[in-house]
Amino acid sequence: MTKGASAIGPEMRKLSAYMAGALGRRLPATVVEKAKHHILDTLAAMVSGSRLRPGKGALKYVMTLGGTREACVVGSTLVTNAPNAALANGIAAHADETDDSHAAAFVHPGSAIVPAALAAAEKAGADGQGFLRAVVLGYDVGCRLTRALDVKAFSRTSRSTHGFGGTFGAGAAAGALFGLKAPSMRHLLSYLAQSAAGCRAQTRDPDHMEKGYDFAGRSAHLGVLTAGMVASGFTGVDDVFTGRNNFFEAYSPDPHLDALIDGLGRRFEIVETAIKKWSVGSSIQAPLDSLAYLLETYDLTADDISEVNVHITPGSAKTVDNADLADINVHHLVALMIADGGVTFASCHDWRRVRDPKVKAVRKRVRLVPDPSLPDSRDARQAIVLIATRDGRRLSRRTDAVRGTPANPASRAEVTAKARDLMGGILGARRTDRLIDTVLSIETVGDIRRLRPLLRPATP
Amino acid sequence: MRSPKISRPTRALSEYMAMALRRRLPAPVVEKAKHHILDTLAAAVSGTRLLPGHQALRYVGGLGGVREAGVVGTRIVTTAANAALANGMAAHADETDDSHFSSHIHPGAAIVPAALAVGEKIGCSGTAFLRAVVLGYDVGCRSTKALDVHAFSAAARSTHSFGGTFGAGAAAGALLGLDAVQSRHLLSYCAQTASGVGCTVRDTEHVEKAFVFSGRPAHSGVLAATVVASGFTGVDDVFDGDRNFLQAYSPKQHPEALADGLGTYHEIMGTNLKKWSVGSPIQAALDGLQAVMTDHPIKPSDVRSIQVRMPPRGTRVVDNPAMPDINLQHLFAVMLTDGTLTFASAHDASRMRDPKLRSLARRVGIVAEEKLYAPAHPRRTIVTVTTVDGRVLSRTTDFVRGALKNPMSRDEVAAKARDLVAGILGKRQADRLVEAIWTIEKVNSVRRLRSILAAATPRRLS
Repeated sequence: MTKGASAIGPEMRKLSAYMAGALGRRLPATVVEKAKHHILDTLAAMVSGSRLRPGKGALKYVMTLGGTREACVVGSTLVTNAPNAALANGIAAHADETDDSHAAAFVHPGSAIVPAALAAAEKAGADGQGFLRAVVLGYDVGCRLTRALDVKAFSRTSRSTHGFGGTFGAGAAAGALFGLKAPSMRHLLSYLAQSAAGCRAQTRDPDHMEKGYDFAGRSAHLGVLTAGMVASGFTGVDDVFTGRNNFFEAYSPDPHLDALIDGLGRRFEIVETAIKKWSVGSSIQAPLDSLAYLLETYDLTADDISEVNVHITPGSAKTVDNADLADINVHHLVALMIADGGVTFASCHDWRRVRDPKVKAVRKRVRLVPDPSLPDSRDARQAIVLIATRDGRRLSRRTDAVRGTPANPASRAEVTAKARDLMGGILGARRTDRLIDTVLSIETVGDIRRLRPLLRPATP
Repeated sequence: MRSPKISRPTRALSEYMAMALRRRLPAPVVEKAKHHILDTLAAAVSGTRLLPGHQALRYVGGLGGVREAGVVGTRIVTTAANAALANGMAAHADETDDSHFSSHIHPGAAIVPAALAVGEKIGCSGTAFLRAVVLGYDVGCRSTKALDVHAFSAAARSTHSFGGTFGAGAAAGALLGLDAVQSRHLLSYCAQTASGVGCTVRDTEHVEKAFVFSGRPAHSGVLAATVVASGFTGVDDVFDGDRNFLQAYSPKQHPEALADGLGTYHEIMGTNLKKWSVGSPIQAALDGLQAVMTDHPIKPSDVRSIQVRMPPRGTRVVDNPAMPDINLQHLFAVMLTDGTLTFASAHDASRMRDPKLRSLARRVGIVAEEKLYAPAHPRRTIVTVTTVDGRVLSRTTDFVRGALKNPMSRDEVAAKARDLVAGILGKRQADRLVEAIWTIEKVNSVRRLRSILAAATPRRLS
């Protein structure tokens, strides 16, 4: 033993002990309810994502690999080994932008953590309660990790908080389900530190495939892989967070180690995670909230509207200004909602609608206004929508807190309605309802593998 | 739509990668590549009987998967990515594998397993396999140079892990026939998965180190290449433009190093082999002791004391630690007693309790001397043996055997490989392995290597 090999800092000691105890720890009822929403929302993202190009590509890829039958690939009949299932389901969960996001930690936690937890739980034969607690732990570890790195400073360096937070969250959830004790959890955290990766160049990925890989697929895969390795006996460094050549020295100019354990057991990161009401990019949530309000309140149709001005921050405008992908193109989506009187997952993702004359006619009346007076914050991506009607009215609606964010949370009914919209066409209405019921009463599920038949497509 | 703007280094590198399997290599490069392929395969086979390699093959054995590639030293056949993971960990299960000084990576341990796994998957020829390996060294070593090796390492990040990922990915991608556009996407997928921090210096069991240096990079490289080959697309130029990889990971960036000298300078020519399967700082000392013993036949009982004077870097690690293969005093005692040092004797922990060896080891002292260091001879080491009859026998080693200025001969490389694998594969198979690599141009499918590299899967460590 070299000197200092077993020196363990207080943050590592506390975090690893918390992780090792997570499956045996009761959670407050509000946290359990919120976790069910995020599990359901992420499963729905996986199912809908399995029919988008990244998800289809992922299934096609893992199908060729074979593997011990441990875990299912959602939206298919394939059962494969847990790391490969996590890879495919992760890519599907972030095949587009419908999945949940944590603004302060700048992570899309569900898309990496839920696939990893599902795969690990299936492999381990965990019960529903164990699965849910592992998911909550994943959010708690993944989001605290990027906070400890200092989200702003870290992002400025062009490294991906999503890849880093996702890897730690996925690994923590899988490690808990594999029953790791505190010393093994410390080794797992070191393996996760060795596997955490990602560069923000993915914002330039026009097909959302590399993004699905970085945000979720790769993170979930390595989380399950390394947790499995440590469970099978791999050893490592006892405290990767302190000591010579530690993780924070490597990656953070301004680390906050205390953030790793801040409020553990009292403050749950999943409660601070936003669910998207609309299956479109983050910056377009507030415009659609405002627009939906105006259309409904004033009972407007396309014919009533002469002009629409959408105000968002200049930073957001850069991302969504006539973007390549239909589901992150603000002009198109605003026009689509007006033309159809609403949007669904299917309509948002149907690229043919971009050329639909009916939508194009409305789109000519949509103007994007980069508005520096709106607060430039990921916590509150605000928008103002102004509509001029043909009969001369000027209507406006400002959205301060987007529906689904912690300040304006979505109801259980809204979460299930969204899940039904995303999954119904693929799983069929009956299976979709059974899946929703099962997730909402997950404590009563004795073996998580019971979800498997519910996640298969109606017609393979 | 897609940005057509690709920076010059990225364009040159990706076009080079896409053509690598069709490009003839100079004869000395081919010869050197054979040495490194054989040496790495031998490292992987011997590593399956050490803890990191053994853990890896046990884990991978449980994953199952399509039978694409073999785990060396076993009868396990699994997916290319899994095989690369296990063989990669085994290849750096200890410190017998090759190393590249100026890029600060252990290229062979990550690249050869990745190339072998994908080569087996597609049944490529021996020539293609060799060219893919050479490309892997060229891309992997250049990637850490582009990150600025010193600044990057000083930031506690692992050059080994990052360089290994790009090298393994490049070799795998070439074998899968990726064109220049796909090669650029592959580089971006490698960038998204390159990871690793320097805390491995604190890993006492070498398991995490094996994962970081080569197991994870080989696995990630194969994963990235196969994902792109199956149709995944990505960013066109991850080394340039907004939020690029080099900016993300290094305070100093040299993008031009990515393509510098491509096709005229081959990084494998700058890679060191190890004559002895022991830690780096001990190599020169063993060379010196062997030279003294060759010139002056001495028995253990003749030795009064031995002084080893060496540059300070690394002396702390080798000064009487618990692991035999990095314990200088113990290894000197073994060589004096046995007349030579083998892989088996260097790794036999039970002999550390032998009272005769311990008494001999106590007569060996290390003196760290800063003035022995010079950039031209960073590992100059002086071994001085004082005999009981009063003779003082001294030998200075300027250049370690196997290093660039003192290369190992083909026979030495073969002898080392035989020593590492014969106990596991048997003498006949060891000879067949050496022969197959020396004539790799004649191998139609590298799957032929699978049966040569296979042995009964070990249940526990011997």
